[in-house]
Amino acid sequence: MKRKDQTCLVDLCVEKAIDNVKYLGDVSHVDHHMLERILPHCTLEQLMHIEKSTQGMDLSPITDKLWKKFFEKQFGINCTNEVVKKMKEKRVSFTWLQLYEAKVKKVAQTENEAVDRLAQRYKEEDARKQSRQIKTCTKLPPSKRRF
Amino acid sequence: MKKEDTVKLISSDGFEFVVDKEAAMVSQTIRNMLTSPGSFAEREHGQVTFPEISSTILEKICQYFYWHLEFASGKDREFPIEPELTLELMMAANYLHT
Repeated sequence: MKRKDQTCLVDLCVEKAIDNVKYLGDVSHVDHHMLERILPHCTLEQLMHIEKSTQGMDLSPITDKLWKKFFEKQFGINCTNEVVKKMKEKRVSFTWLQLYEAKVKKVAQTENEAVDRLAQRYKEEDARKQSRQIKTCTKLPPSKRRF
Repeated sequence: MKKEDTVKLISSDGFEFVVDKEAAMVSQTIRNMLTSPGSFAEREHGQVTFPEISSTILEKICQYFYWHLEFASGKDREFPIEPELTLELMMAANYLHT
């Protein structure tokens, strides 16, 4: 049996919201202290959806630490520390969502460049093979005439 | 049911819910409104208007009040919350200290 303090309606709603976190979108009308309890249960995709759906309210005070965790999980602790170091050196500050998005873009760009380079090499190799292929010649040697 | 034992809760869209005072007082906010000293309109007329709570949510809250009383008396069953009402209900519950 549940304890008496577990029957508070706010708690029941928070539990329900956590169970249905995949359906959450715009949360701009929800108090911060309740979002603090719900949002840590989101996956990366769910949190991204909520961030993009919630316009007119800055969720970063709640989600920044969550994005740092996602960043660390995806790109490693070394990369995360490197980013922190760089920001300190340059005396700039970005939210971890911004950093995550920038990193994803950069990785995608690097991948595309690598794919392009590979495709170019294949093309060059094909051309080289093509140039070394034996070609049948249609020209006939001059027939030897008897004098 | 005597009139003085009940309280009328009015939603933003004008729906009136007459509930037992004992049930309504599950909400700390309503309890304060109905019991605080002085002649507050809520206490005098036994009715409270919620300009920010819709009838759908207020109805659910009234169901919760009775569920809570049953629960406190030992009846253990789940309180159903529709997923689409969750956030709005949570905000109202927070306001009502419920």
